[in-house]
Formats: sequence, structure tokens, C-alpha cells
Amino acid sequence: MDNHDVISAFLDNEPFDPAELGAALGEPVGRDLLLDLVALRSLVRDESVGTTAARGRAEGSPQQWIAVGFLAASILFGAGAAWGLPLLLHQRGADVPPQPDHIVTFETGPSAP
Amino acid sequence: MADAEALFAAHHTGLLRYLSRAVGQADAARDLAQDVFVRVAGSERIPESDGERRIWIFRIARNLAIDYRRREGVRSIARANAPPEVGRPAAQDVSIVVNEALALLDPLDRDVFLMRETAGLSYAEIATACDLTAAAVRSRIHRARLALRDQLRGPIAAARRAPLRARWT
Repeated sequence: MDNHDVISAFLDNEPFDPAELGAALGEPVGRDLLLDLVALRSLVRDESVGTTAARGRAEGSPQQWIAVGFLAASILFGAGAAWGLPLLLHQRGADVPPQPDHIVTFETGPSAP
Repeated sequence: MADAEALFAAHHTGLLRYLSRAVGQADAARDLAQDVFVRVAGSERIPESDGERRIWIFRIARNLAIDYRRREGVRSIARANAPPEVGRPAAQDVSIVVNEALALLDPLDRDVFLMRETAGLSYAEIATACDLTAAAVRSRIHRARLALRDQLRGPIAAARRAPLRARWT
């Protein structure tokens, strides 16, 4: 392992030879590299992602909102169909004339004077 | 499904960090993370051990990121060449500069480096996820670091003036 490798291994939690690391960090170049790599890691690891991840979960992605909208529309349509069905059946029944329950007949009587 | 949800929750932040740097867009990263969940939830067999699951989920994420970059390649270049927005916060500027430096790396070097730096995968895990040897992973991470150190001298110097935390995971 050269100086770069041993410093990378240390930084990446991989096995390393302590004597080699000591030698690498004994030189200003090695110490500078270590600090640069720690700084680089902090730049690349965007710490706002953890918080935006939580916010993103709370707000939902566009795909989630589309799914929610589709679900809501399905429920409303289903509820509407369930409610409307008896009414529809009733309306269909209204097309058939009702059966008479009593009949009034008119007969011709004497003419008025 | 419950297994898939627990697995996804355990890796959600790491996945988002990886994806947002891999594709350079936070919104796209959220959508891709959602796609990872859909794939995981729809899978007939979830690996048994935690280590295998982690590798599996990042392999899915990497494949989705590769597809995304392939689809969006032309548009991403157009965005990278767009003039800077007026009044953009400094932190956002740095993040964009980092994304631009990452975009200049070899794609495999970038993925390997990001799996280590943003999600804390070990060399062995990255090697399995990317079909490489552990030695190749070490070499690619090393190459990526040197290139980024060179590209990001200014932001690195600025970051070194603020308190730092060495993170191992």
C-alpha cells in the first residue's frame, strides 16, 4: 500500500497497517491528503438529503400524488355508483306504467235540462 | 410487503444520497428511490441476510440511475451549460459544482465512489453490486478521489476552514 492507499483504507473503514498509516501521516503531504478527503466526503454527502428525504416522504412525489388522485377518484366513482344504483333502478322502474289499484268508470246519465 | 417496507425504510436516506448525486437531480432521485421500492416490493424473493439485501437494493438503484442518465443525458448536458441562476444560495452553488465534477468522472468510477461516500458500502459490497473485484473498487475509488480533489480545490479548501466530521458509514 502506498500513502494514498493506506489513507483511503483508513478513511473507508477497511483493514490497514497501523505502521504504514503512521508513516503516511508523518508527512505533511499525507496529512493534507487526509484532510482533503474528509472535506471531499463532507461535500459529496449532501446533508440536506436526510431532511429533504423526510420532507419528500411527507409531501409525496408526483407519482404518489397521481396514485392518491387515482385512488380518490376510484373511491368516489365507486361510492357514486353504489349510491346511484338504487336510484337508477328506481328510474328504470318508472318507465313501466304503474298498476292501477282502483278503477273509476264514467257512465252516461240523463242530460241536464 | 412488510419486509420490503422495512428494508426500504432502513436504506432510504442512503439511497436518496446516492441517487441524488448519481443523477444530479433531487426530484429525480426521489422518483427513482420510489421506483426502487416498487421493484423491491414486487420482487418474489428478498435476499435473506442484511448484507445481501443492501447489495441487492443498491444494485437496483444503480441500474435505475444508469437508465435515467441514458434517457436524460442530452437534457443534463443542456442544464450543465445553462447560465447560473441569479440569487442562487451558496450551498446550492457548491452542490451544483460537486455534481458537475462528478459528471466528469468515468461512470463506473463515479458509481463506485458514490456507493462508498454517500451510502457507506464496503469495498466488498461495492464489488458485488458492480461485478468488480475489491482491488478494482479500491483503485477506482482512489482514481475518483484524486480527480475530484483536483476539480474541487476551491470548495475543498473552503470546507476545510469549517469544522469537519470524519464519517465512516
